[in-house]
Amino acid sequence: MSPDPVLAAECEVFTRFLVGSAPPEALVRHYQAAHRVLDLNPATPRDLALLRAARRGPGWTRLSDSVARIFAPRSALRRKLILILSLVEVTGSFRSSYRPGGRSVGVALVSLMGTGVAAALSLFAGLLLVGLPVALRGRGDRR
Amino acid sequence: MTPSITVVGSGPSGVHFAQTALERGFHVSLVDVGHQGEAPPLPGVGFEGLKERLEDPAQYFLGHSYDGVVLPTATREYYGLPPSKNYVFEAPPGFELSTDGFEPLTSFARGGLAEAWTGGCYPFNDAELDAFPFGFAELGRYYDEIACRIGVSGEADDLSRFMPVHAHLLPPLELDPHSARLLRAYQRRRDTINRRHRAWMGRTRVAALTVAHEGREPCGYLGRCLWGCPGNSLYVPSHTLRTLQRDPRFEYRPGFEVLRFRFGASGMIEALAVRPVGGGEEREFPVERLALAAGALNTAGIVLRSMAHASGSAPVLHGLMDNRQVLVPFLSLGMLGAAPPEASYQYHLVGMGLDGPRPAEYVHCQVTTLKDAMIHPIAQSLPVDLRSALAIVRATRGGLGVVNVNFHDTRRSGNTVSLENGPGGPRLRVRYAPPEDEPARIAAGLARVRKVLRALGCIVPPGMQHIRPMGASVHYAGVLPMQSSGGGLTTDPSGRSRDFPNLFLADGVTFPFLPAKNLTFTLMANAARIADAIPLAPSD
Repeated sequence: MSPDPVLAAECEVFTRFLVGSAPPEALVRHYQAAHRVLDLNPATPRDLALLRAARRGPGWTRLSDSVARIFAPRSALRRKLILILSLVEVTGSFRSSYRPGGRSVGVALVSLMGTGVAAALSLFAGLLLVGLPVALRGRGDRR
Repeated sequence: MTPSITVVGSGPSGVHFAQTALERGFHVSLVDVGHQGEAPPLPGVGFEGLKERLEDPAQYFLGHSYDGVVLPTATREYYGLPPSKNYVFEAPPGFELSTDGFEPLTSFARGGLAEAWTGGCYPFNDAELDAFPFGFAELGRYYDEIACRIGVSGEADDLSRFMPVHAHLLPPLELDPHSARLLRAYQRRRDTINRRHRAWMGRTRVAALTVAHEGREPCGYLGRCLWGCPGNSLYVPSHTLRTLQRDPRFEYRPGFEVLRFRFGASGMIEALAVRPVGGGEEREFPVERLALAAGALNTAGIVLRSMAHASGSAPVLHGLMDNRQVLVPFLSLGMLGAAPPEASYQYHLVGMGLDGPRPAEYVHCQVTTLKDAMIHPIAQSLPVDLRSALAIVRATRGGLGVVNVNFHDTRRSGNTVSLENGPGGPRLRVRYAPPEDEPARIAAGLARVRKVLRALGCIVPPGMQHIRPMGASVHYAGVLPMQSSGGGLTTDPSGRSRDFPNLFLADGVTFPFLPAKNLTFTLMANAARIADAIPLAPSD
């Protein structure tokens, strides 16, 4: 089976979004193979628009995913990202991404607060830069 | 002449019935569909090590068809079972159930549903056996016998007030740091928790070895319990089946789906009608005595199909029971930032018991701390983007856990198992409706669990508790109850059918009450008790 360049590029962007580095070859191969058996295709124009926005780069993926988690939790984008996460967590070289070393309660609390603020900002920016255009395009499509 | 008995099903009831029958001198023939899984790879390597040492870890952890990837769906109950356990739930071709208010799991595997259990072994006490036609004094020695056979670890502690201590209890498993912290917190606040919340905590009793036992290794703390214990430390019934197969008086007949039995005018069963799973003509095995241990639903189905085949119609069986389970996730604040242990037993090590308005209405809780597990199902449930969710899981992972809260059930007439016509012929119809007081009971139980967790220094994230559908606990029982006296569709106290004199019902189908506790240990003990009482002469 020949590799699909769109899926390969998508896999690279999404893996960089999740763990900050490029996927190993095996992860890309499984990502493509999973598309042949799981239902991961966009079901609606809004799904497709979210996916296209997310493909632009890891930063855009974060903004798009923030919006998708709240407003389209079963969208193709979410499903593809969850697939990537499942592949990341069975890849030994990404161990530090999903299995932390020990930290103090204080450091963990500060980290959690930072994550919360970043997630909130990402959602706000995502609504402006991704959610609004996708919603407007959806209205235009309906007309 | 050697007396003989045919057993249907190789689950916990079937294999322990068979073992006791063999010990009494019977020739035992066990008929089974008998699906099998693959041997666990790389024994001695831990959960994380598999990701580095396996040639293709994604294929092992996620499966050939990626069914181990948990995608967001609206309907499917999440069991967290890995692809390596898919064989446990594989049904023979043409098997179907029709359900209403009930989402059952069935198994046709060697070892049955207990091939995927979490090993909880909790004897019923006299209050919980009150509706049974015998008490703990009669069942107790069979708990001792089963504990000796399978190996149960644990200790006498505060939970012993709810579950009698049996013989042959092995030393408890090592605690992971999170479970140890919870028990230390309980000891510090014990008086308050006991008095104010009427809750007690202690070690769960589990069928996992802490010393070598009959070729099985003590727990290696590999974190692979769910995926298939490579040292066979966690007991599953297929271990006993392998032991039985070494006995020349034991005959294992896998590859057959039992359809029904044929009986004569006196009700004496003469033959078992089976269908080869791989295809082929229906055939009969002659039967001297028959023991059904195919699991409550399958056993009920065999009885109903037999009656329908003989008379053209089958009765409706009443009184189906199952434990309602509610999952309550929590976070131990003191464990924030802690790294998950490198080596651990994966399942529950700590339990909690809440006393009920009556002793039999005890609420049973198993507390499982998050150790080695797939985290993508957790991360996706958080209300943030996945990168943030991953960061949150990293920071909190060492302190995450879940309380599995179990509630008792009673026999009620509206909960039925019957036959109906399906596209492929008669199929089992299962109907269940919870009791009217269930929402209030659940709310009261959960409020107490949350208070205890807070007293232990944990927070319970709002809105994340999950009431599992009926059927999810896989503790089915009650539709052909055993009673001291009764008519058709019941058994006598020794599990002998009142409709068919040479039929013994050896699984949960005869339980007249379902306490909140996991029933598997009692299934095994009761099956051994029934086998111990079979008359040696067929005419008795």
